[in-house]
Amino acid sequence: MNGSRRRFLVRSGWVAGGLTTIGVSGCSLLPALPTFGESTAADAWTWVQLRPDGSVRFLLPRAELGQGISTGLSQVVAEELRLPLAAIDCHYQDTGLMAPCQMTVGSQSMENYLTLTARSAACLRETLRQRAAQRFDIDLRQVGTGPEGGFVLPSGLPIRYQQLLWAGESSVATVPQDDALELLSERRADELSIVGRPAEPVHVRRIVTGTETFSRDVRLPHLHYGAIARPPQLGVKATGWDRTAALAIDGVRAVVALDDQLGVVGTTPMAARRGLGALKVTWATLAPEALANVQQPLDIDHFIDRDALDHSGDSTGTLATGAKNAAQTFSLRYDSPMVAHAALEPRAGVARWTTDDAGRSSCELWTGSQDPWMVRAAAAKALGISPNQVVVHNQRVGGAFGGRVLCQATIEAAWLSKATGVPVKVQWSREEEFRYNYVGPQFSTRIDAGLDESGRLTHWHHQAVGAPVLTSSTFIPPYLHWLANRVPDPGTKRGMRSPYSIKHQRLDFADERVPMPTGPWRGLGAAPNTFAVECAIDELASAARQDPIEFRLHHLDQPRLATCLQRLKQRIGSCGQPVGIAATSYKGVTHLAIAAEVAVVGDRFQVTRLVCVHDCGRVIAPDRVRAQIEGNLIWGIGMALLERFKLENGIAATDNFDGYALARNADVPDLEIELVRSDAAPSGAAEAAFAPAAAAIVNAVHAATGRRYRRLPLKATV
Amino acid sequence: MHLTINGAAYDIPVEWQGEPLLTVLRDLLGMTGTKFGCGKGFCGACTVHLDGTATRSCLLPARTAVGARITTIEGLADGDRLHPVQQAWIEHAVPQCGYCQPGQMMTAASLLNANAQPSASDVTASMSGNLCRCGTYPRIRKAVLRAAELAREAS
Repeated sequence: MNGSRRRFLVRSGWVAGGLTTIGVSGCSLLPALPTFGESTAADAWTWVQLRPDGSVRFLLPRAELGQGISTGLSQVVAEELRLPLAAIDCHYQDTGLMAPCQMTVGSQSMENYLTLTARSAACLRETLRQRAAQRFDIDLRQVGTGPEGGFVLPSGLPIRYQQLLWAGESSVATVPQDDALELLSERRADELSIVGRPAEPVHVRRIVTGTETFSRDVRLPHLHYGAIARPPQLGVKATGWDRTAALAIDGVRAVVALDDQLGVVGTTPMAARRGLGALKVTWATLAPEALANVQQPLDIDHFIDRDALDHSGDSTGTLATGAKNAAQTFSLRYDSPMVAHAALEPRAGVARWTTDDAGRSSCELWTGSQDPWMVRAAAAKALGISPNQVVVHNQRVGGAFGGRVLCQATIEAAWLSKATGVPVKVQWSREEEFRYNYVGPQFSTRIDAGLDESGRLTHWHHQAVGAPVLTSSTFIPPYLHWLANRVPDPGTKRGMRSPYSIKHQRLDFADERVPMPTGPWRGLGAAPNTFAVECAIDELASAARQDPIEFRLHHLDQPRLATCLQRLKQRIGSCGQPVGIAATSYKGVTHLAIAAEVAVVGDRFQVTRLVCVHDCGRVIAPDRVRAQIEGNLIWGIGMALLERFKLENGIAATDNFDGYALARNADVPDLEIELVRSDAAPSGAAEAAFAPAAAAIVNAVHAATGRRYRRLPLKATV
Repeated sequence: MHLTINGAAYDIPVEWQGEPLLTVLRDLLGMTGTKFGCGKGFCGACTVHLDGTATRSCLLPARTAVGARITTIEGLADGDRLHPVQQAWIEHAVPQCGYCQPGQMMTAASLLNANAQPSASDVTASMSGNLCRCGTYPRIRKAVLRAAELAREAS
């Protein structure tokens, strides 16, 4: 048994004996980094446990953000154990009970966790089969597949899983099985009873009765409330403070400083807020030139002129050679703004710092994060203790979209709790959420391309500038920027390489570190890059006087994407309405094509139809996949027509929903979605469709009005 | 000062009486089913009923709710029997992250209190004040119409 497995078995209460810990010295110069490492089969053995009542405790190895992974993976566990879905008791991540799991990002949970989860559940099933063989002294092969939740003996006697627990045993520890283990969830579709079928979403009953616990809902005895003094502008630090007036406020327990951060702890939310109001803080102010720099938009032409695009990727052929064959050339510029995650739950965290009689300190945290192990590492750094002394209980997250890799409120609760010795909750306001989280960066793109006499693409030069996504200041501290700046950010590049085969093409890009903290936003670069690519392709198809679907098909050698486009063509038929088309092969593995129709209503555009043909390989949870695609199509409406994050005077000008428009119910038509049946490996559906949806809407505006828009969000009045 | 919430009376200490009803529900009484979304009445996550009518609790000082029958998501079901809106929400598997859904359901239930047979456009109009970031709007519309049907079947 390896160390990590043993440790979690111990903490789960399975093995008698002392806690095994691995010493990790504190104070490292390295920042708390996101959890990139993939889980292993050894980690997975602890995820699925049988309990005496015959139910199964499933420790979900992913964060549930609304993408429905708790449902999909519970379906897999149920299928492997031949149990009804309702018998699977799905628990959210807990760093005290599980080895670190890869952060929940990039729409890769099914890709990376399907087989591990299936094997974990199948190992439990086979462990139980071995126990049955021993108990009844029969050969393993004689323990037959029985009714739901058990086996059948050669005598015909059924035996339920829970009858195989030993007296006093609280759960069954799985014995690892060899690689030949049969995975029931991988059988043919018609042999499956739960996987691949619509299922009631896990925990939906808790949600509709208001009993699901988000991190903002966590309550502890003697809970206190924390409020943090926030700078009035980006890049500004506190230079001095006077606590006297704050401490005089009734219910204020303490004013706490950690480096240049200041927080107030009160017995009620009101006391903390009033204390914060009374706290006198002196802030440095931004020099006018620094202020201008904060708000400077990125301009691709400025970068091209200075020859400042220092990263290249995936180039083929020679542009000049391709351009010689061009009968027409095009130089098209696209711009997309900074964007906010705007999840409906503003982030929150609860911390309980304790010191035992032996003087040993530990901290328990409740968070809502895409990466509770990063929260643990960041909290440990702020607290000056080892990550082993911190336990993080992850909760269902009220929307993430890349914005919850770090849940800063939890770290703030941690140092406030340590300083005061009481449990503390920090809950961000909507204004804090808009002003002090990272945003999706602005992108500025120029695409130079050509068409030959026959309307084929001769060359394609995609040049773009964005701000760092993964190597951003959100994750990398200033003293490491010199290093991070040399790394081409894979997040910026995502989606830049189009699915079209063009003999001569070149990609050049830059990640410009901007004063506004940037970071992952749904799909990373795939959103702005796919918007630019798919709108440019549409313009070129028009110039070639070709049908936009046919034009794409002529340039494709990706058969799955071609199938999506052909099916889309059949679906939209000849309705006579002007449509906009877009398509993508997201990360090269999820293929889809979208058609949009748009009407001009007064001074705005109304999307009247959205059709999506989507191939994300084998589908485990079809209704949750559909829900994700629905969400993506609606995000496409927001991206094309509504969303723009603005800075003014060095701080977010859009700090609540009156300034940052999200799509509303009336903005959304009924959605038409077709899932392509496929035996290919499952791939992501959580962020594939929304950028092409936005592009299809922009292209539909052209189809309806004859006007080309190249800057998002587009406004009918411009 | 007392508030009547989901049929029970709660004594509200003086320092909480001027706070928004939402703060009293969540931070004093521990009824966390009603959600904080924006604090300014823009998003609808905090929707509760006052005498059966949808009201945003984030802007409403608690003392102004004295004497009203307050219903929160925790009190929408009739004991173990789910409200037709809750049943329809499960049938259509509406929630994704689920955070805005208590507010959406309270708005929907209020609509059905006022209009037992809403048209599709009544539903869209009534539900357009509640924001959802995940993108559950088309399912919400279907679920509200289904809830109206379930309520009629039950009566």
